[in-house]
Amino acid sequence: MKKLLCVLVAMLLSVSVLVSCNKDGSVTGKDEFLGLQDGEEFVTDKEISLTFIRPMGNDAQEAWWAESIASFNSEYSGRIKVSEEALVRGDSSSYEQQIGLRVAEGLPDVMYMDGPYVSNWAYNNMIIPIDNYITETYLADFMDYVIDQGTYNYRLYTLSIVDSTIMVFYRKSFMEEFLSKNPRFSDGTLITLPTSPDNAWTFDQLAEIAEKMTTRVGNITRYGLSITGDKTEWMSYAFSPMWGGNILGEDNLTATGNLNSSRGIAAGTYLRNLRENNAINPSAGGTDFYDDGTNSQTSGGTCKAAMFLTGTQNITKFNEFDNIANDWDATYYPRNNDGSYSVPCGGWTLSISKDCAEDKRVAAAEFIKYLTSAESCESFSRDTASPPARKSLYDSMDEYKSGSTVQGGAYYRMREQIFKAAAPRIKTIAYAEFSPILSGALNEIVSQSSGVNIQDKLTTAATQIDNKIRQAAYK
Amino acid sequence: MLQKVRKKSARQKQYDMVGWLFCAPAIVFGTMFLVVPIVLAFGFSFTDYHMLRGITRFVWFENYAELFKDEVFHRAILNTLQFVIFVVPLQLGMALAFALLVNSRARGFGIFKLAYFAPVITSMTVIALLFKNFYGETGLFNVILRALGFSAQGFLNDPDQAMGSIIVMSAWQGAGYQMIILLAALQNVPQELYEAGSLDGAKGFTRFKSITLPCITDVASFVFLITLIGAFKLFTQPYIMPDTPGGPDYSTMTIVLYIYERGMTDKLIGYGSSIAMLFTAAFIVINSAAKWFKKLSDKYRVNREKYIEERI
Repeated sequence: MKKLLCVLVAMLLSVSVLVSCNKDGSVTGKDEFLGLQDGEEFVTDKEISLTFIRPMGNDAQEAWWAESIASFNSEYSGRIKVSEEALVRGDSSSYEQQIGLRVAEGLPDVMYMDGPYVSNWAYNNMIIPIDNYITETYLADFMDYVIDQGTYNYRLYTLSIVDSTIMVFYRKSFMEEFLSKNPRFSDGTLITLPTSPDNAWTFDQLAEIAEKMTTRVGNITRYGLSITGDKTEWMSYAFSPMWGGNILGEDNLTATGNLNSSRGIAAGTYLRNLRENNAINPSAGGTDFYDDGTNSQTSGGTCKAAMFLTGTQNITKFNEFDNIANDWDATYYPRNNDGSYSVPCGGWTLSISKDCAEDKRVAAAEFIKYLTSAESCESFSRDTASPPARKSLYDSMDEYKSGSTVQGGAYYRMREQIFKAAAPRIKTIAYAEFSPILSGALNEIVSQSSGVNIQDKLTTAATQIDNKIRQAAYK
Repeated sequence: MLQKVRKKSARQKQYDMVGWLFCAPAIVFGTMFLVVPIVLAFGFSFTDYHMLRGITRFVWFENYAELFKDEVFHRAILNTLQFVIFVVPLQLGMALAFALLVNSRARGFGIFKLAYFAPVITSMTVIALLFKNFYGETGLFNVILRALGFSAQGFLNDPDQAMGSIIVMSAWQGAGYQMIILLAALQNVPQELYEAGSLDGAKGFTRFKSITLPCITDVASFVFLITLIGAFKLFTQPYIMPDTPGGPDYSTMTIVLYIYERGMTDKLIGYGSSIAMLFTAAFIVINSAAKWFKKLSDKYRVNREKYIEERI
């Protein structure tokens, strides 16, 4: 009898959760415009309170958020009040998990979310389209790939302030010393720094340079390259272009036969060879490139990596160290060996949640527009050294202008590669299932001490992704 | 015939009330954090509950059927069993050895009590990160191996060595706690038994086997049980130490980690709950078997003592 009672209670509780989980926000058709026209002022009878959630960032980002939200609240005093909550993101998908856990209890009105998850969150009705609230003229200044990243099923769901891209960062002193010896590639051609995205190093050339730049300084091996990043997402972000755009098939939901295709195996072999040929340190820390142990040391004698394939989000970290703030430069993200070129991009972006009440949505859109205004994008871009999401800023910010000498022209090269071949990460509703498994497999290909079977590793990863996609019932 | 129920006095009622008040925190928290989650997980295990979409339908036994096909789940079971089989005797053996050493009261051994217990009061996360470093390519253990002329080992980066590396670290980390309990038991062994034993010529291992071990059996079986339970719940080490949680090649994936991976990371609450329910059921069976075995051994001991007394 008692057991039966337990089962009944369980069923009742489950049903109550079912009811609470299915209170989706209503979604308005694309043609119906509900927001404010450009230049129209937001008016309201009583102050609207908005909740905003975001991940905790570095010092520069935190300072920017504090200032921006304070200034928004001051400018919209008596009309809109935003209260924010910053969650620790950590080295995993814990931010996404924490947001997921709040779905049942109610999501905050505005959420700052990682770009590749837009399709996943839109598919799961966690966020609503914002194209009913923001005019097309307002959107016209945003980079195409930013709009592409925020679009799911022909509806725009998110808008970004800044973005990110990946480049090959290098220590100028080490590179100059290396190039002064007139090194040559195995085909006999002289190694030089690329002058445009069209002649960016290929992945093979990068590996060859990294191998040649690995040296032993005293008791410390300084590796030519570091590719270390977070464990959940980095490897798939950095290396998925090597699959040539076909990593999950045409439906973006099929890993077997695509992820473990010949291109995938070539990518895995490439990464394994970086280790085998001592081009990278397989157990490198993420700070090997810029942290010499002290921020005032200038010799670089203890630096453990001469180059760093990483995202632009790390630039602020480089600049915290006096010894490399003026000693880093960057060249373009590598081309595929077949000459094709796709630069991984994508960054954090603003969305309105399904739980934002209808009478608050115009205010929420105003908040997003305030954060994505030209002034706001420029200040966030400058403070965090991230490429802006707006096209016009590349012509007005000195560091991105043609002929810029800021940091040896690194920012201009960033602009060049973005305008040439920027592409958001793979747009799949199963990104949450796909990315950690691919990253895990690629991490293991690099870190495993011996006996790595790349084909098996990628096939297992592909099977796991397909199983998870099937179990999650994505259609 | 109806029995006459004796009415409780006001004083008795007051006593009862105080008793219930003392129990209330345990009942409330136990219900909130133990009973309700178990009941909920049981209910969820029959649904397609996805963290972001909620429940769209009852799938009845589909989740359980899926588990039979899930190779990673099978791997997690085998890994957990491997961990339990190796870590429990290793940890208990180490704990007993430490306890005997400390109990010998030799000069300077007091410091070992602190040394062995220190890992217990240190956060498992901190220890896991420390050992991750020790096991690294340029970590302490490989430095020692190279200095001794051996080749460096993969440890956590080798699927054949990863679980072994975690077992060694876990046995070392947990042994201090068991040592303290066993030490208390050793110190409660009546000295007159040793004196009587020495009159009969018992020394060294005979003394340990015939006096010490029987006297600490009850405590040792309790220690065995809590070590067993702790071993089945392995999570932190395989989550933190390998480069990929449960890796490489799922060689350190355990049942509890898999529940977390499927329920939290993959957001499949229904599927994760079905693993949790199977785990709970298996755990109850193992726990009951351990208790039944203890009862049986107690009965045997009582009978043996009765037999000896009769003979005397």
